[in-house]
Amino acid sequence: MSAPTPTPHEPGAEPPEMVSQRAFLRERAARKQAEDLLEEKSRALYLANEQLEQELAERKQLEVHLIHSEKMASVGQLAAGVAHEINNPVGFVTSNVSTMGEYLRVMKTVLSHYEALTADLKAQLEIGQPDQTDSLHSLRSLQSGLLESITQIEALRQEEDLDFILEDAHQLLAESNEGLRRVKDIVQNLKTFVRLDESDVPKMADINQCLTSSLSVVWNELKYKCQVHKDFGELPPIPCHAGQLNQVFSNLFVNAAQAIEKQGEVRVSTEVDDGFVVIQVTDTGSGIPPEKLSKIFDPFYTTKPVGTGTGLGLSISHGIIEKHKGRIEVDSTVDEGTTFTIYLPITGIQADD
Amino acid sequence: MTKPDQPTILCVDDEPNILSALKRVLRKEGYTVLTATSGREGLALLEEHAVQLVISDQRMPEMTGAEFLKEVKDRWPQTTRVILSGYAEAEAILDAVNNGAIFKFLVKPWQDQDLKQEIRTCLAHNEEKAALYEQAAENRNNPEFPVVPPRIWSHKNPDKQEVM
Repeated sequence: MSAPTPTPHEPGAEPPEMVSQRAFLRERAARKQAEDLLEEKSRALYLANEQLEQELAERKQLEVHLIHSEKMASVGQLAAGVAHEINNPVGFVTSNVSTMGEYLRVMKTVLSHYEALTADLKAQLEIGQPDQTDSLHSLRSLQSGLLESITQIEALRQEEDLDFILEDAHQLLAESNEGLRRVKDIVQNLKTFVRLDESDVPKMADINQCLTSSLSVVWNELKYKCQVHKDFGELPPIPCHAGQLNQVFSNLFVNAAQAIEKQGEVRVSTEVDDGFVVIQVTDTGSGIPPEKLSKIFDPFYTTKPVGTGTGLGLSISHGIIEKHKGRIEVDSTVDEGTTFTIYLPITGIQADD
Repeated sequence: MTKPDQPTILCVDDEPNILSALKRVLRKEGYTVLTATSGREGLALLEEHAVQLVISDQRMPEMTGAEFLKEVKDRWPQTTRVILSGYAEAEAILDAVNNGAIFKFLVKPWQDQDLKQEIRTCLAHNEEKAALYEQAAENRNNPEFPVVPPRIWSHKNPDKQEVM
């Protein structure tokens, strides 16, 4: 009797359709919340990404600037050597040209005397021919006149050192030619070295040729102290930024020369090994102690006196080689010398790298 | 090799072409011109010849111009010393002036006429210096302190010897 009758409308109890409606709404709210969250997060992610990209671009820009300023610094450093290299030949060629003018003046003077002599001879021949009666007397006076002229010319030749001048003129021209060829070579090498036409697109280049032109640009830094031995293997041309690689090579050469205090050797060799172009630069200089060896690729690390190095050369070289997907290694023994080895993949660098 | 009545000039440069160009410029000037391709060679010539003017390049292997001229100054102070260089950083110029006590710093490329004039100026300076040395030797008037009088000559006319 007192059995509990189920109330059709218990508090809290809902009809099943209402329950499912509510569950639906709840789910929708949750989904909306999740979607909002997702959108918010992805917006943040997008912004962060954008910022990162911008920073990366700035970094790249900075890197370009850094490479450029290091290049400018080393160019400034090289300017002294190059100026000397150019002014020497220009010096003696200029002077020789002016000497040649003087030689020409002497030759003209002597030549004019010979011309006078020829004119005399001609005149006397014309007079002498038709009338041969009092030949003996006129022949004698003619001969003595000619003899006098010849003696005069001989004296003039002697006085003006004509024989020496004729001999020396050839020598002078040969030396001047050599001087001009040297200036031409220097300018040519400088042009190859800086690659004024260098764009962002890598171009096929012969590493041996790069090494040769870099070597000649820094030659003035080396020639007084080092014997340079080149041992180039046959290399395939590889796609690369030759101007940047030249910067790396000339930096290594200058370092090698600076490591040598009085006299020494620098050895440059290239070969192909297992898909890599291997470039080795060895000097017989002072070497690098082990505790310093780990720091040499750090930016602004330098052991050179103020004004001699920027401390950027090797760190930038490292960056350039890395950009070419290669690697640079160093091996050094104090008082014996240092070897830098660069490995560049034959596949080289691609346009979008 | 050296004629007694001609001033003697020693040119030192590691570039033989520069030396022949200099010889050509000075050929008719009435000087005795000696040449050397290194500082060491230059010192050897100075040991054998009385030289009034030394013209040296700055950048040379083994011994720089400044180093060479410093030794010349120490051993032959009566010489007049000049650098003829294609390029020199301030450091090298300071070195040449302060240690080599150079009289002039000339640059390559040079104009022949200017160079001849500079050389005449240098030799005139050397002549004055020689006279001063002689004067000093006379003033000292001390037989126990022998001073070798430098040779006196005139740069204006090599044939006429001027006695001061």
